[in-house]
Amino acid sequence: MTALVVVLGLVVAVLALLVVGLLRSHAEILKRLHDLGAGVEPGQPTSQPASPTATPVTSREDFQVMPQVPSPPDREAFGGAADLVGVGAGGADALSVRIIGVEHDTIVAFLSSGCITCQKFWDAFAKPRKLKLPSGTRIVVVTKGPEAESASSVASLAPASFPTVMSTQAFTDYDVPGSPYFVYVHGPSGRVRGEGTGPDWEQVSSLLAQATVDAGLATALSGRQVAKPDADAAREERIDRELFEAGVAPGDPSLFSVTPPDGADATDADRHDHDGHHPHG
Amino acid sequence: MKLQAHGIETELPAGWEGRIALRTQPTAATRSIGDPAERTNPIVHLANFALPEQRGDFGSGAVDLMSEPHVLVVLFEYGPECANTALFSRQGMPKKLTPTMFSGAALQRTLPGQAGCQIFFTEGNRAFCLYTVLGGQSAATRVLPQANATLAGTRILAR
Amino acid sequence: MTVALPRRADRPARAESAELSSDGIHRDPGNHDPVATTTFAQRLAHRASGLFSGHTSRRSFLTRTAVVGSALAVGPIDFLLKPGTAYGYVCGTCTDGWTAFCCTINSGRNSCPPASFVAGWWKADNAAYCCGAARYIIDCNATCPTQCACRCSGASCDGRKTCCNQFRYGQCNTQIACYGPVVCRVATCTPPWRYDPSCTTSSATDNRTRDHGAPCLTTDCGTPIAKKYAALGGSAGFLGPVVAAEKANSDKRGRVARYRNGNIYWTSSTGAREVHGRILAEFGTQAGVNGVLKYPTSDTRTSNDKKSTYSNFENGRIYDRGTPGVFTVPRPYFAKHEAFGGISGVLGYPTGAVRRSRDNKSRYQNYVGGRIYVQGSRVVEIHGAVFTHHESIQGVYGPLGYPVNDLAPTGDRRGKAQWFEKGIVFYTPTTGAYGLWGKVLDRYAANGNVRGSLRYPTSKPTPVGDGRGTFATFERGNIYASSTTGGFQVNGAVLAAYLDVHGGPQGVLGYPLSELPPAGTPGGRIQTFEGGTLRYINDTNVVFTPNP
Repeated sequence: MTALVVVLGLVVAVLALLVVGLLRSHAEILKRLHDLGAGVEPGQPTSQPASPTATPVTSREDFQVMPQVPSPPDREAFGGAADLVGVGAGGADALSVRIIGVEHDTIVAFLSSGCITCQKFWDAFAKPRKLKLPSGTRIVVVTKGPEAESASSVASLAPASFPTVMSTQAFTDYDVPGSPYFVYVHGPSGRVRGEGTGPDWEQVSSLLAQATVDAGLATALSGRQVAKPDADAAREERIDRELFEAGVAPGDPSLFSVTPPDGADATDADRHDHDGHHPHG
Repeated sequence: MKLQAHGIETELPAGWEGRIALRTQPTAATRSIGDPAERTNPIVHLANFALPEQRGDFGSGAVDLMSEPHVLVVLFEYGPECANTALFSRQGMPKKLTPTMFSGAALQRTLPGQAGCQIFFTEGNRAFCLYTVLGGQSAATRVLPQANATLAGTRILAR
Repeated sequence: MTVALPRRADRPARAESAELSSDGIHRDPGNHDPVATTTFAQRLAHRASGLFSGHTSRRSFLTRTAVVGSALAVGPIDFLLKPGTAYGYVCGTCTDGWTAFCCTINSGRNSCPPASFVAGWWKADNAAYCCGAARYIIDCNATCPTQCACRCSGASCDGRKTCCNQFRYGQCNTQIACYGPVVCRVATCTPPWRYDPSCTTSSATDNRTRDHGAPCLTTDCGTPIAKKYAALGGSAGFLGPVVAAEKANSDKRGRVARYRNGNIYWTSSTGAREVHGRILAEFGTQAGVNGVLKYPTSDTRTSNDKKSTYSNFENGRIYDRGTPGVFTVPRPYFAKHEAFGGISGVLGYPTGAVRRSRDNKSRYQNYVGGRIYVQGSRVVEIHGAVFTHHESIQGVYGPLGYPVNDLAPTGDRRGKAQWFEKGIVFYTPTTGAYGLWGKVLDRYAANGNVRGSLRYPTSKPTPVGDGRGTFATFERGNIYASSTTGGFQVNGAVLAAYLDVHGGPQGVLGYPLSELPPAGTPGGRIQTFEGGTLRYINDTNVVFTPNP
């Protein structure tokens, strides 16, 4: 009985989350339409273009990892993943490690031989059984190349159970801000599931596990989506049609950018007086 | 993706990863890893699957993980005293492997469904063994073109 | 129950082998695929092995075997943490893909069997079998034409395959191009190029085989000294930590390792033995293995009477008696001492070191009960009352001189006698020990010594007091001798008359000049003296006749 109650509670929570998400999405679309003048009955005033000071969709706080650890710098989106090629620890051997288009996931750990925080990770990687890696996940350690790192130091630190690649190019490819830094890559798609850093492996692994849960939740949600009420579906269809008739096709940059096109002056048709409406910003 | 080390270079096709490595030379202070008189020589491991870090020179540890579409190519070098001897009399690295060259018995460790091919040769006065393992012998015609592409992209520089 | 199905027709081997050889594939033409030529049942087992490997469990069997113990001894951490059974970990199975060890299939011999040759090798690092050093596995490949068939070894442990894996490591016998499958593996801690000169030093590594084992393989872990040290508790034992690592002695016979509280010595004939404490100190004063004692042949032991500890050596023993001291009993003293019962015998514990006599004619060692003299090759002990008596008459510097043999029974079941350079000591428990020498001894011996009428002496030769002669008493008479007369026996009624009536040798009769004739002598039984005669009539009637 208790189990049944718990399951029902979980279902309710999931549904609530879904509803909130849909409502938010709907609100955003309505706002955009209003700014573009779509959906306005003839004769009704249309909205002004959104002000250049409109709040971005995402904020830095969304990506705050740990209070005491500096956030990654602003990015437009997560960086991409790439296969790794470089020299082995010690600087003499050559190796390449596939990250993309493989069956397994990979945690790419960007470390250095000199940083104090990195030492905890070097030590942790020396005991692979205690890492509690997600099933089907491989760790690859990456340091900068021999021109920027002490190859002998890396050789003495390199874990026996995971490949270690010395490659400065990898730091560039992954847009790594500094070490230690971790990127969790979904092998089959090459998509970055999560990235960040932490003071020790316990913290990092819990963050990565959370990323896994989130991804798993999204997957679970997509598989268990509740059929939309007819009224919602009809409304979305109408919005799509009106956007298209206004020249805004799916993927149109105007749907994502809040600044007016460069060099373009606002035309009378574009200026809308809200009179009594809040300026959108 | 190009790898180059220890006088060997290889241009890996998409979907492959590799290692060109030299094990640590034992010394009098490190008898746990061998006698100081031993001579380590370059070893190349190329695979279309994720290579585990702990591997034997002829692929043990990696072959355990192979399934039907997987191929492991091992290039194992011997000392100069072996070059051009009877066992290593073949000149030049093979570039084209065919299914008939493979056998379920020609394996360092015979695992069900797998097949191996071992060829000793000399190139550039360097003695080698080319040891190729198929995760599934039945997939030979499908996967050997990949292995041959890997071999085609591999060059041994003379001593 | 399996049914033997007809074999598939084999492909033409010769044509294929020619093609393979040109490709550099040197398989035995007659047996290019050992697995294909096995029976249907074996191939079925081979293909199905992947389905079952790792799924079968023999844990109940393991609890009844020593295999688990072997695995724990060989690699306890790996065994406890790795998946799989201990049986598989150490013993292997026919389906695990590896080849059996040679000692399993070659009548216990860890070497290549006939029709095979040393073809290559690899090492496994940090091998417990070699006490943390690298362990070498040497493959014995079948010669061409292959004379074996792919099969399981059939052993309950190391039931791995033989003659199945057509693979070669290739560092050895590179002049041989054609090879068959691996027949078996040799396991050794000796580098392969020292095992077989045809092997090169080109290193190959496979740590997966590090702890592969077989009942016929034993750990080759360390030197005898290292094993001894470990058996004695290592650094936590009474020897304490290592002070000087094991090394060969300059005599090229043995080796020694030094620890805080003792040493361990080894030779191939004596084995590894510890020596410690005061015994070690004494051993050092005896010049150690380079001295008379040579190498130890036992560890320290406690005597049966619990009054000492001792260590045996090739040439003797050292006793630590506690407060009395530590004493070496070297050869040849040790053999003599042991012949007389050792510390439990008549000599007892040694009480001093071996010494050289003042006259440089001997060396000797004292014991609680006596002494052992060594003169050249002659080794003689002297003990008890005889020793006491000898010492009372100035020992080797006295009238007897050096003992020339050990105390021995006289044959009459009463007493014993010991010969000296210049005399004999006679002993019975009732008469004590007395030495005889000179004319007294001559007469005693002429009269049948202990079997004569006198029986055992009851005194040593003693001066009469007149500056002329000596006499000795016996159980049944006396012997008198002087510088001008020989020794003569006087006993019975004649002796009584001689002493009591006529004053003995200092009386009118003087020293005897003859023996008393036996009964029936014509003219009567008359004993002649310097000053007259005594005629024995009967025990109560002895007639004196002075000289004219």
